[in-house]
Amino acid sequence: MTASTTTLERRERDGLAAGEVTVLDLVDRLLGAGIVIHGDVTLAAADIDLVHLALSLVVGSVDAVGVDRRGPLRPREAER
Amino acid sequence: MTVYLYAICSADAPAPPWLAERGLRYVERSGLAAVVGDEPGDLTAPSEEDLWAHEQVVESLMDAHDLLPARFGGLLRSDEEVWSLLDERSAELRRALDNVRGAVELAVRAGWRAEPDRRGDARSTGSEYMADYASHDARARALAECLDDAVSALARDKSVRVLPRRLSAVTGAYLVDTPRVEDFRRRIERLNDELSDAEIVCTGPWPPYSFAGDASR
Repeated sequence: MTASTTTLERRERDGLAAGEVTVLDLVDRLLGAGIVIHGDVTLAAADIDLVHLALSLVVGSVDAVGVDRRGPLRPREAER
Repeated sequence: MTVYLYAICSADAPAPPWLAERGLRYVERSGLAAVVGDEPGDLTAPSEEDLWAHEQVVESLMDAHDLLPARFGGLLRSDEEVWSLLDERSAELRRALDNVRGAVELAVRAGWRAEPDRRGDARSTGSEYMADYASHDARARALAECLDDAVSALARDKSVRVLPRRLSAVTGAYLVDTPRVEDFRRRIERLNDELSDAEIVCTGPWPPYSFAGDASR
């Protein structure tokens, strides 16, 4: 792994289907994992509606991402 | 002035030469270094590009040395608050750094090639619904076991979720030693070829977001 093959570059290289999954995995990691700052310090992203953000990023790529294709997208189902 | 947190690493890890060029710097304390920069725009309504910008900084750092990636949106009020963070959580952060040393995270997502039969979803009785759920649950768990058999021996740590009511039936995060990454990928590809009803996709290597310590849960 080198700087010349970042996840974003691999996404572009591997094509759309892989890219759709990559975006879901990106959202899972950047918004659902990683070191969290808490206590007195600010967590700026704490108020973000993560479900709707994730949906806005992946909508249109539901085949690859596991969002139920039948009927409207419901926030509860979209939560991974 | 606020500072935005990208990652935490050992203070001994040499800062890559491009760090200052990108407006980033180390804030050091207790043998640890927080990699911080200026607040990158509006954090309350991030776009995909904003997430990739954070990710690319962390991936570039990961090429230079081991680190604990920070969740998107971590903003501190001052360097003093970074010192407090590193002081108060130094033991936890050091343990987490030891845990991920020399490894990367691979993401695995397994879903059904055809949508599971959900005839009973809309009109079934409660007991029918539960039986339907149980059969999908069993199927997803069997898929998770297949995955486990195929790759767990190659992983140092893992976090796997079974989601039987979704097309993505299983999602997993695996902490894999860097030299084993290609072997891991090949095993996923082989398993994907072998299974007729499920599709398995592996992405990464990612910074070890899912293994950054208790604080990430």
